[in-house]
Parts: sequence; structure tokens; C-alpha cells
Amino acid sequence: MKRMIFPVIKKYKKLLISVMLVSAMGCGFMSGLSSAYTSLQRTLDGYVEDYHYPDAMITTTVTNRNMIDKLKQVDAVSEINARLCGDTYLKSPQGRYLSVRVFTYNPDDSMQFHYWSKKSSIENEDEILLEYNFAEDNGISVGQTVKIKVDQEYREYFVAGTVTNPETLAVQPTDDSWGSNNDFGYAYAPVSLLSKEYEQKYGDAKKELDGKQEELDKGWGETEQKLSDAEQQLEDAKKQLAESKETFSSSYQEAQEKLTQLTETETELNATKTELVSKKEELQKTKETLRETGNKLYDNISTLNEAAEGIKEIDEALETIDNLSQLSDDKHISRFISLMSAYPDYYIDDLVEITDLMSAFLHTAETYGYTYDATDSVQEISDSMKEYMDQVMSDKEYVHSEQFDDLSSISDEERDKLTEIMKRYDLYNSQIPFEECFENTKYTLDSLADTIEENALYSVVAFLPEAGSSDSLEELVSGITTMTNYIDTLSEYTGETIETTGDLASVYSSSVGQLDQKKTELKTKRTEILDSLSEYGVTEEDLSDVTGFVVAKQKTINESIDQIDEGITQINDAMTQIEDSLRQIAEGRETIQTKIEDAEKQLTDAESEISQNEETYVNERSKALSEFDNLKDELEKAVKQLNEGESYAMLCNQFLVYFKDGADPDAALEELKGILAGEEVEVKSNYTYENSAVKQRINDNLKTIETLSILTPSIFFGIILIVVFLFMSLIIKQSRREIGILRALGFTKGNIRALYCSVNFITSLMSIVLGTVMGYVLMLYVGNYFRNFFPLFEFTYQPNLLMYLFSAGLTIVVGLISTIISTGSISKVMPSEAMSRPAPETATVPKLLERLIVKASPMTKFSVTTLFRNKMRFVFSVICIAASVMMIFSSFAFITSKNYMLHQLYGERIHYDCQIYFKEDPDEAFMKEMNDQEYVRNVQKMPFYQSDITFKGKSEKALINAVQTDTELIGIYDSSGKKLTVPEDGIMLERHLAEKLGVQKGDTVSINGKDIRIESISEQSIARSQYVSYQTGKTLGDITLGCIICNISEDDEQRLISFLTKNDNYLYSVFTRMALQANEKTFKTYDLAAWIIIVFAIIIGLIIVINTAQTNLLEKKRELCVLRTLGFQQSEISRKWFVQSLLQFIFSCAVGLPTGIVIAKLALQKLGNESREYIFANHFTEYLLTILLVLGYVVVSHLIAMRTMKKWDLVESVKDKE
Amino acid sequence: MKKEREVLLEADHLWKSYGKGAAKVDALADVSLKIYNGELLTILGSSGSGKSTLLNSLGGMDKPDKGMICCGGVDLCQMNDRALTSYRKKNIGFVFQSFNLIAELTAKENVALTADTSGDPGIVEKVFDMVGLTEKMKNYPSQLSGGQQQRISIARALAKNPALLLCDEPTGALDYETGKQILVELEKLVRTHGKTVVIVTHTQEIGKMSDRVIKMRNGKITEVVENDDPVPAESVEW
Repeated sequence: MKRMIFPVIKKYKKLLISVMLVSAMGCGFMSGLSSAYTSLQRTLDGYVEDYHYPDAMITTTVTNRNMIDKLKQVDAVSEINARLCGDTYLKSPQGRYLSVRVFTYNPDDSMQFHYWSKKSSIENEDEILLEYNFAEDNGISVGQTVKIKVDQEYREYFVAGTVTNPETLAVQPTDDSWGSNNDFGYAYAPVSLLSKEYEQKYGDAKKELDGKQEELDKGWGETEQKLSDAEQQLEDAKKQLAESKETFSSSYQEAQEKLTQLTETETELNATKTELVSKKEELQKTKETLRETGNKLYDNISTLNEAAEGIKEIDEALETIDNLSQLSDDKHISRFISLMSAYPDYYIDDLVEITDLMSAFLHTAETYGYTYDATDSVQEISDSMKEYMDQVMSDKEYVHSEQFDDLSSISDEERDKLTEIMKRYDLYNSQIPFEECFENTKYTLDSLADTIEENALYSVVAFLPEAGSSDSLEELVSGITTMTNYIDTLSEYTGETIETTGDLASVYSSSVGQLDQKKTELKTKRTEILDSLSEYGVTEEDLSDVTGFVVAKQKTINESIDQIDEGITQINDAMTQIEDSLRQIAEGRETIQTKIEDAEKQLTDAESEISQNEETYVNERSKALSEFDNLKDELEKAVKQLNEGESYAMLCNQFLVYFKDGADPDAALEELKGILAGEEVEVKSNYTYENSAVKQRINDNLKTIETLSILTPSIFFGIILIVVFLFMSLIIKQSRREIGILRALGFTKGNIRALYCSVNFITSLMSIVLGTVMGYVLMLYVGNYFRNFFPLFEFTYQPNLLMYLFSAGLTIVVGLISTIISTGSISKVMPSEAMSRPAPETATVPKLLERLIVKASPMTKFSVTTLFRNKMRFVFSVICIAASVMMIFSSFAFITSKNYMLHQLYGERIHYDCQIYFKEDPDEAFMKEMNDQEYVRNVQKMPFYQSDITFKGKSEKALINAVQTDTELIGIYDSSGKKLTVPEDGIMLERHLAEKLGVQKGDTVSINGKDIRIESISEQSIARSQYVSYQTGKTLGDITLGCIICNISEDDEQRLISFLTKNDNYLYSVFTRMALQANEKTFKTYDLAAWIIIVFAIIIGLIIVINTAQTNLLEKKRELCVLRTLGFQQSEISRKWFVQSLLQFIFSCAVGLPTGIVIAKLALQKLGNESREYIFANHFTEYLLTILLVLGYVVVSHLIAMRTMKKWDLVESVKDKE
Repeated sequence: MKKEREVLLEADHLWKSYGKGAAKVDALADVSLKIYNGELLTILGSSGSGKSTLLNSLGGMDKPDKGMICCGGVDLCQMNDRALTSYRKKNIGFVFQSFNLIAELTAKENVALTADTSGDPGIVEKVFDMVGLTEKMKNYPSQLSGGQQQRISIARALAKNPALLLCDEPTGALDYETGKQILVELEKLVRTHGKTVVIVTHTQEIGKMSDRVIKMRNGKITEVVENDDPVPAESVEW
């Protein structure tokens, strides 16, 4: 069996070389990248360990190193180191002005930093050491001379060496810096470099000390005066206390009297209160009664109306009775009654009618010449009327005589007689023609005669005297009229019908006698009704309008109730007043008692205070004396130190503190601060290196590198596992015949599996050798890129043996696993089947694809079907190519996103060339001077405020910039990419901060206790600044850092620095151009990782595509040669065969690109951190580039396959193989 | 009478050898022959006699080291690969011993592969009719018997309407009965459809059905037999 190993290797050398290459890449990447990472980590660990990082750093005003001894007295402190540091400017050999922070370097210190330096100490006064990266970035080499500004002038210093310092990791201008700053760096120099600057200051200090001495003496005089004043004040206080005691006792007496008065008043008020309560009860009752009465009236209004009706009827009846009585007394009535009694048969109506006729005729006759005396008796009138009527009748007859038919023929006598007749009846008028008067007379006489006849006036005239023997006709007529009225009244009263005189007599006699009795009855009933109404309070007058009465009554009741209510309210008010008074009395009592107590207490306190003050006075006096002595001693000592010219080398302004294990650093720091109370103290404390910002920054960067170093090869190995499996499957597939023979010869499946595992093992061993070499080269190459992250001037390369072994092991394991899996198909090979010619097999393609190729040419169908003949192979090859697509795309996407981020920062946001930092906000004069520099354009202030922003109890530290609201130098955008303007009032927050605080536009946050409204929310992804206007900025408190932004051309940068370094307020400048360069340098490592992935992906992709294309081709060698035999040109076959590659390409892209997008997004998310967020920049270019690359190697593999095909021997290939 | 026959293809002094030095073997040694239009020619020879090399040379699949093969006035030996492919496509139909059908394609598709050169859109159906397998058009090779596969192979060769049909041991992979059926088919092509068919075989009896038989040994033509009275394929026995 062992003999079979090398033949198999020989036979499948091409595939095995691919396996070896792929495995070697995995092994190489894993060992190389991880070794580079572990080398980096070791280098850093050693570096930081040597650095001896302090637990706390206390920066003070310049003081003396002797302070260390005092500080060391704190128990928790194990060690303290001190140094003097200060900022100044350096002019490089190239003439560039740079900002530099100089630390004094004192080799004599017991615990000095052990810098990483080839030269470990400064031997001469004119030597300095520069921080390695700072020197390198600015092209300063060891041995060169630089100029450093010392005491307002530039002095030459020899660069004796470079050192590295992890602190430089944390010396970016701000933690949220928008770019690294290579114009700013560290230098280590003899103390004289900095202390010379302080010479002047110490001269001033001396003067200050003298001044202090003077002030102290003066102060002592003042203190003495104050002490004697205090003594005097004590005496005065005692005197006042005695007076107060006296006043208190008299006041106490008065207060007691007042208390008695108050008790009396209280008793009186309580009595009044009781009265008022009973009165109020009464009123309540009355109110109730009134309300009941009112209700009763309303309820009984119908009863009242009935009663009123009854009274009315009674009154009418009484009136009738009165009328009857009155009429009965009339003389006519009494006379007529008696008269009528004699003639009971006369109808009273007839009598009335006759009388009327008589009377009417009298009036008519009076018109026609009849006269009578009204005083005459009825008999006399009757007689005279009879005579007149006779005359009328006779005259009528006469005028109707025939002779008067023609008046013209009558005699004068007759005319005279006629005239006489006319005159008798007052009808003659000489003015009227005679004939007309005659006719008129004739007519009148006819009328009169008719009246007499028609009314039987002769009977009437005869009857009247008989019926009434009245004195005159008028009396008779009047009597009859009265009588008819009486009869009507009587008839109405009695209800009897009176028609005849007999009726009258009878009714009269029966009823008139009872009138009085009736009247009495009615009156009685009336009185009863009125009595029954008295309970309602109704009088007789009220009955005329019962409803009106009830309404009026109700109104009155309501008014009364209102009055009662008012009364009750008044009572209540009075009671409230009484209550108030009582309360006031109680309060008054309490106040008096409290006052008494207070007064007593005050007296006691005053007594005790006076005695205490007395004591304090004594103490203070002795303390002041002692302090004065101490101050005097210290001053004398300071003066002595100054005078003795104690070495400037002893000056320091920074203490580096190391705590003992287990010590409480907070408490220790407080104690240290207490000792340094005389200085301005700033504490930067991390307590350990593990918690420091430097460590944080190193860890952030290491995390990214670790991810790249471990995760990437792991992914690679995953892909390699599939690739090796695919290739081993190909080998086994192609070896079916050999396997069959071996099985036929009696070898077990295990033997055969061992054969292929051995083949793979040998391949893996070769991979390991190649991979190890690749890994070592990669480690050296990648290591150089890693240095960009850290200020390392030396990189300790140390291949990670463990990782090498691990990679080697992994390579073997992955290879074996893949082989074992792929040899699973061996069991399917039957010896007999393998020995015979394999039966032709058909392959199926996915249904969708089948539909697409249904109309394609048989050649195309053949090509496509061949691709799907081995589905597993197709799937795995697609997975591998898709992985390649995914890796290429995500790497491109990452590079684009990174570039997009840089573009966002330097293209969209920063429109200024230079950012200049100052210790304090530059004044207007300086700004004007800046503006006047011809080479400076668009100067604007942009001060920094570092502050806590608070919202609903949540607080976040934030960097706030105040800028010109219409500034064009900074581009700020919202999440939709719309440009934002800095608000006049309020604040513009950055989205991340807004999310952390949970605020939205329109909310109000608090900064330094001031409420500020959020006007807008910006999207910056990096350099997360909040923006306010200058006006708002002023309200935020003191400026943290002064800053100016401006535009300037590259050529003028040094002129600007030269100008700025003259100003003591100036700190350093950051040029956008250089920050961009520095950032790009850092990003090189990311680019490297991306390109490593791209190269790996291309190689993997290429190997896969070439091998699958070759295998597919070889498997169909016979068929393809038949086609050639049948006359198909190579190019024709090539075109159709390319469909396979194209389909693989399409499937791979369809799977790989979306996966690539997801992976790219995840990777960007993983790489992003607090200060930098990568936005997935989705450009058409990446898609195109990825597709073109993959298409490229698909085409290459196809061309290689076609080249292979060209070499085939047609005759041999179409032969039936044995 | 034979001089009147139209020469379809003429091979003149063909030489072809394999190996070098002592191992050198002459597969063809000065072979000359003519193939006439409409004849059924059998080339007989034992294994290694050079018959297949001759067939391949005539079919433009192999180039002799020396000599000339003329077809329509053009020498095949001077042609480049592209021209030879074109020649095969237009003029030659191959029938292989092992059929060489494409397993991924149906019978119809296998035939249709070459049909476009015929210029007759209905050719596929016609050739299926000719080989009597119309009902198997949609079957895949794996679903057909050996004889059926060979008939499809013949149909594929015929589908491009070639001038010359070259059959390399067409019955070699078939049983007796099936082989006979194939021979009947080939005979029909010549006799009924006027095709020119060259059969290479080591079975002497097949020569009896041919118009001519060329015998070969050690790369040389040893005998050319004119068969004036060929027996029907049906009667051939071996």
C-alpha cells in the first residue's frame, strides 16, 4: 500500500499542489499574523513594564523637589518621583517650528523613568533626548542640532538620542481628536533648560517673599488690633447681656398680664359664639316653616281658587237681593204691584207694548200738530188723543174727496178749508206749491190713520186709563219701565217665570218676604269661607287674584328665606371672626410664650456664647501668635533658600506617585492634595496602569489588531477546510477506478482511506514548511505596519512557536478531516463496478435553470448539465468562490468606508487648514493681529468647553465648541446629509451624545446648572463635538482651551508658527494637511489587512476556479473530443463551455455579494469605537471591481482549461479506454 | 465500369509512424487508396495493422507524417487544425465502436448537435426515421441498449449529411444480433440512400457485404478485393 502513495501524488500533483498552496496560505497567515501580533504585544508589554507607569500624576505650580519628603510621609505612598515640565517650541534642522513638552531628565533621581533609549542619559547641559516618533515624523535624527526656545530666545541643543514613551499615546490634543498631531512632541532635557525660564520667576518670587514678609508684619499688626477689638467686643457683649436680663424680667411681667387679658376675651367670645349658634338654629327653623308655607300655598292653589269663586257667587247673590229690596221700595213698584194684583190677567208684555205704542204715537202726533200737557192725567191724555185721532180720521176722509182730484178746479173755499187742514198738521208752506203740500198732507194723514188702525189705538187709548191711574203718562211709562226691570230681577232671583200681573203678585208675595233671611244665610256662608282661608293667610282682597297672591306670597317667602340665609351667613361670619379671634388669641399666647422661651434661650445662649468667645478668643490669640511665628519661620526659610541659591535642579511641577499595594488611592490622593494645599493642584490619577487612558488606547488598538490577526486566519481556515475537502473529493472521484481495483485486490476501505490520508499528510507537511516560511515573512512585513499604531522605534520579532505549532497542527487536522470526509464516498465504490466501464449517467440541473436552457443549443445544455453533474462539487466551488467574492467585496468596502470616513472628516467637515490652540482665549488685539497677517485667511475663534451635559439626572462629559453661527470653516450635517447651521441660542448636540442622554431636538439639557435647549442634532461619526454660538458659549463658564481656526496655504505654515511662538499664550497648532497624512499612516495597517484578505481571496478563488474548471473539463474529455471529431471548432466549444464558468460566477456573486455586504457591515461595526465610527460606504466601484476581479479569474481559469483542451489527442481520447 | 465511378477521396503514399529508434512502428507505410462515391468499403486487418490510423487520417482526425489525402482537390495534410475541423464537420460522419454519445443529452439532442450543417431543418426526424428509432428520441443514452446507442450514433453521423461515413469497428461493442442490425442499417444507407460508407473491422465476414475490401497488415495494404456481388448484410455471419 505504501507503494501507492507516491504514484497517487504523482498522478494528482496539480490538485495536490493547489491543496498545498491553500493549506500553506492558511498556515502562513495564522502563524505569521499571530506571531506579528504576539511580537507586538510582547514588545509593548516590555515597553510599558520598563516605563514604570505611575499610579497618579499630580501637576502643581512650580515647587521644590523637597516636597517629595513631605509627600512620602503619607502612608499609602510607596514611592514618589518628581520632574519639571513645561511647554516651549523647537525649531527643527529643516527650519520647522514645532511645539514641544520638555521634561527634565535627572539621572540622579532614585526612581527615574527607564526610557527605551539607546542612550540612557544626558551627559551635557546642551544635550536633549527627543521622543522617537516625534523625531522621526519631523525628520530629526540623532546627532543633529535643534533650536529650543528658552527664556524668549532660541538656544541650540544637540539631539543625543531618541526615547519612546507610552504617554505619547495619550497626548493627542484632545481625547476626541480629529487627527494625530505630529507637530507636538516630547523632549527630555537637563533641568537647566526649563529652570532658566524660571530664573526670572524666582527673582520675582524673591520680591514676592519680601513683599510677603512686609505683608506678614503688617498682617500681624492688623491681627493684634483685631484681637484687642475682639476683647473689647466681648466686654460690650457681657454688658449688653446684663441689660438684656433686666429688660427681660419687666417684659415677662407685661407678657403675663397680657395673657390674662387674652383668657378673659376668650371666655366672652365663647359665650357670644353659643348665642349665635342658638340664633342660627332659630333662623334655620323659621326658614323651614316659610318654605313649608310656600309649598302649602302652591299645593292648595285650586282650593283657594274654589273659595274665591264661592265668595264671588255669594256676593253676586247678595247684590241681587239688595237690588230687589231697593226696587221693592220704589213707589212705582209698590203702586203697580197693588194695581196689578187687581188685574191678574193682564200680560205684562202687552201692557208694556201698549204703553210703548201709546208713547210712540204721542211722539208721532206731536210732529203733526198734536199737543198735550205732560202733567195731565192718563185719562185726560187719553181723551185728548181720542179727539185728535177722530180729527185725523175725519180730515183724511175729507182730503180723499173726489173734488180734490183736480185741485185746479176747486173753489177758493175748498182751497181755504184744505189750507186750514194743512196748517192743522203743520204741513202748509206758502213757498211750496199747493198741490205738493196737499199731496204731503194726504200722505201724512194716510200714515197716521194707518198707525191708528193698525195699532188699534182707539182700544189702547180706552185701556190705558183703566190699567193705570197714574197722574201722568210719563209717570206711567216710567213706572212700567221700572216694573219690567224689577220683574227681570225678581225672575232671575227666584227663577220663576213672570208673564202676567197675577204671576208678579204671587211671586212677589212669596219671595220678597224671605230676602233678609236669605241674605243672612249667604253672609254666614261667606264668613265661613273666609275663615277657612285664614290658615293660608289669605284675606278677602287677596281672593280677587289667587295666582297673583300665591306668586307674590312665594316671592315674599323667598325674600324672607334669603334674608334668613343672609342672617345665617352673617352669623357664620361672626363665628368665623370669633374663631379667628380665638385662634389669634391662642397664637398670641403661644407667640408670647415662645418669645418668653426665646428670650430665655437667647439669654442663655448669649451667656454661653460669651463664655465660648472668651475661650475662642484665648485660643485664637495663641494660634495667631503661633501661626505668625510659623509663617515668619517659613518665610525666613524660603528667603534663606532663595538667598542661598538652592539649585534650580530641585525645581519641579509634577509628582509621579506610586501607591503601596492595597492602599486606598482616593484617600491617599486627598491627603497628598492636603499637603500641596498651597499650590494649584491638578491630579491625573488612574491608580494603576491597567486603568489608565494609555492602557485603554493601547487596548483599543490591540483589540483591532488581535481581531485581524486571529479572526482573519480563522476564517481562512474555515474556507481552506472546504477547499481541501473539495480537492480531495475531486481526487477520490477521479480515482474511482483505482479504488475499485484496490478493493478488488482485497484492500479494506480503511487501507484505502489511510492511503489518501497519507497523501494528504505529506501534502500538509509540505504546506507547513511553505506556510512557516510565508508566516515568517508575513510577520516581518506586518510588524512594520503595526508600528504605525504605537510609538515604538524597535520591534522585537519573536515567532510565536506555539502558534506555529498550532498552525501546523491545524493544517494537518484540517487536511485530514477534509480527507476523511471526502473518502466517505469510497464505501460507495463496488469493486465490480469499478472494474467495468462506468455506465453513462445523466445529470439533472435545477428546474429553474432547466427551463432557461430548454431552448438553448444541445452544446449549451451539455455544458450546463456537466456543471451540475456533481452537485456537491458545484455547491462547494460556489461556496468557495462566493467566500472569495465576499472577502474581496468586504475588503474593498472597508477601504472605501475608511476613505469615506477620512473624506467626511477632511472633505466635508473641516474646511480650515489650521487649528491653533492657546492656553487661554486669545484677546481681540491678538485676533486683529492674526487677521492682519497677509497670509492668514478666514480667522475665527473656536474655543473649547469641556463640560458635563445633564438631562433628567443622566450626565455625560462632552466637548463643546463655540463657533461663529454662519461659519463656512466647519461643515456640520444632520443624519440626512443636510447642512446644519449653528444655532444663535441653544445647542447643537452630536447624535451619539444625544442617544446616550436620551434627548431629542427641542429638549432642554443642563450645562453647569444652566438650561439650554437642543436646537438640532448633528451626525458627525467622528470628532463628536457639540456646537454653540459664541454668545451661548460665554454662558457655559470658563473656556477649557482657547482655539482659533483659519485658512492658510502650505507655504505659509512656518511663517504662521514663527508668528505664533512669539506669543506666550500659544500652545500648538495642528495643520489639517498633516493630520490627514498622519491618519492615513495609521490606516495603512487596516489597508494592509484588507489587501491581505483580497490577495488570499483571489488566490483561493483562482485555485478553486482553475481546479474545478480543469476537473470538469477532464471528466468530459472524451465527450469534448467527440465534439471536436464531429467538427466543432475549439472556439465554438470554448464559448459554450464558458457558460459553466459564467454560471459559477453568477451564483457566486449572488451569494457572495450580499454576504460581503453583511460581513463588511459587521466588520466596520467591530472596528469602530467611541471616537470613530465607520459608515458602510456603498459605492458602485466596489461592486464593479469585485465583479471584474472575480470575472477576471473566471476568464483566466477558462482560458487555462481551453489551453489544456487544445493539447488533447483526439484519436486517443475518443477510443474506448481499457 | 469502375473507372467511371467518382472518386470521393484519394490517399496517396501515406506514411505514419509512432515511437523512435528501435521502438519505431510504422502504422502506415506507403498506403494509397481511393474511395468512390456511393460505395461500401471495408478495411480489414488485425489489431495494429494500421487500419484505424488510416481511418483517422482519412477522417481528418490524424495527420500522416507523409503523403497526401485529396478531397475535392484539397490536400488534408496541408490543412491546419481549424480547416481540418471544418472538413470533418462538412464531410465526415463518424461511427465509433463505443458509440461516444453524450450522456447528458437526449438521443434527439445528440443528433441535433451536428444537424445544423445539413441545411435541412427536418433532418433530425428524417435520420431517426432512417435508423428506425423515432420513438426513442427523448431518451437519454443511459436509457438505450447498445444497438440503439449505435444507431443513434449513426443517426448523429448522418444528421450532418456527410459525404463520407467512417465506421470504426461499429459492431465491436455489440452482440451478434445487434451488430448484424447495425450492418443492415449501414448497408441500407449505401444501397438505399446512396451514402459512402467505410467500415474498419477485424471481422472478415463483414467484407462480404462490401463493394470493396481492403486488407491491411503492418501498416500496408496487402490486398484490395473488388466484390462484384456483395451478399446482403442480413446473410453475413461471423
